Amino acid sequence: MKKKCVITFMVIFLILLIVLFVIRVWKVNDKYGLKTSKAYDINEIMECDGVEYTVLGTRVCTVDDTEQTKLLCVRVSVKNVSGRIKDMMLSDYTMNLNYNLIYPGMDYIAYVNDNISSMSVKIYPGVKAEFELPYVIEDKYLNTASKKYTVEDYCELDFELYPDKKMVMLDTDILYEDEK
Amino acid sequence: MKQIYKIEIRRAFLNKRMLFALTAGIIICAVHFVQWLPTTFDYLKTPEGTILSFYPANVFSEWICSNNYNWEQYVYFLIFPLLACIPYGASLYDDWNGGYAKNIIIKRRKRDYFRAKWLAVFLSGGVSVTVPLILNFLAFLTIAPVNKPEIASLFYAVGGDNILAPLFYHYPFAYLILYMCIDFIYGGILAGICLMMTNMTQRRFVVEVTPLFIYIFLYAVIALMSEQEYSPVSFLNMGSGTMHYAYMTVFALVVAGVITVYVEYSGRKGELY
Repeated sequence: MKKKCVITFMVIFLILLIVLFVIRVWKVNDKYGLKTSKAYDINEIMECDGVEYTVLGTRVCTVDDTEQTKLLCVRVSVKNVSGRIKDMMLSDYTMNLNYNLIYPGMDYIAYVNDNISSMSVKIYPGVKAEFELPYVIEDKYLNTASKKYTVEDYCELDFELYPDKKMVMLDTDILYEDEK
Repeated sequence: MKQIYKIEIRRAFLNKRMLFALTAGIIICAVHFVQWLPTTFDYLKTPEGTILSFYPANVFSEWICSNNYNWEQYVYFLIFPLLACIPYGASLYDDWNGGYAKNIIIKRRKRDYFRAKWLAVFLSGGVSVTVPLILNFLAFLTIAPVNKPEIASLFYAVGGDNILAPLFYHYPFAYLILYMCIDFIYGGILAGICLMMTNMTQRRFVVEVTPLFIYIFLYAVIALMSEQEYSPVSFLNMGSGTMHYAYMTVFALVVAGVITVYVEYSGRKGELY
């Protein structure tokens, strides 16, 4: 009888613990979970924090001094629609090129300049500016991605990660032009 | 035949040594949880102003096996063989020297006894090393979300050139389960080494700590060659971002094969025991 009571108590305690655990996990994910994820196309306007971004196109180039380094240059138009001067630190402005989810692209300007974090640009209200953002693309990743992986081949440029993920899907064909 | 497996597995799990090993592992994981609570809450706070690259911490970036720089994971994976061997590793030694094995072999086939012993030792070793890790993960589930790992946030050890990176970033739970299976198998195999040590020494202590000595010896030799990622101390941790899956598989298969051959040989031939 006593043993039965202990077992019943333990089962009730365990069930209670599981219920509390599930409620807690649900609450945490409700609070911190990713809200939405939206993919934009090239030439589509995307607004992030009072700035309109438009990816105008991409091209592949190499760097003169290190010809081995292949760059994917992304032309981005930035328009300040916030009604106030936007002081944008270049380190914050670094966007992540996310190739096939296997390699975070690196902003080449930041890569070759140690003092990049101290640089910033000011954009006045209503002013539109164009930038070309270079990202290092290593051939070994391209080869790995094109020959070994079967996951959908895509290349995304992430502008904002949280709470709403905003990204632009880029053309990947140009990355394989050498192979063709 | 099934009865002997049941008896051995029951003996492997329902003993004080299993409780001790689990408690030791859980204490390390609990210390990690308590120590990382403030850091996790800091990483969850949305910063003032807009930082486009901000991504909050999640359970895959915070739990004990999410990286290789917290001291708790280092201690845990350093004493990994000890945690695996304590519960039931030296049971063959105890059975043989206490006379239990002789009584069993009179009634059952010796081969079945050895097979049952190997299975029970393997399972106890695997469970004692993976349960604390799973509990640590469950504890972190109560404070951090299960958002998909975002490679652009640069939180994670699994790099772009890792062959299983797509699995980690697309299906993190599948990667986690795979890694828990790897740890389970290695825990079982390390405990199995104790079986091979049983008739090589007169000391119970030596039977239990030999896997730890081999493990630390390998770690030291591999570290001398500056190839730490080939050491089990490193690659058994999911947060090490290891890429040597083929090496890990071959290593596990070879050791498990040697133990199995030894067990089969001991079960068939009378000379060893």
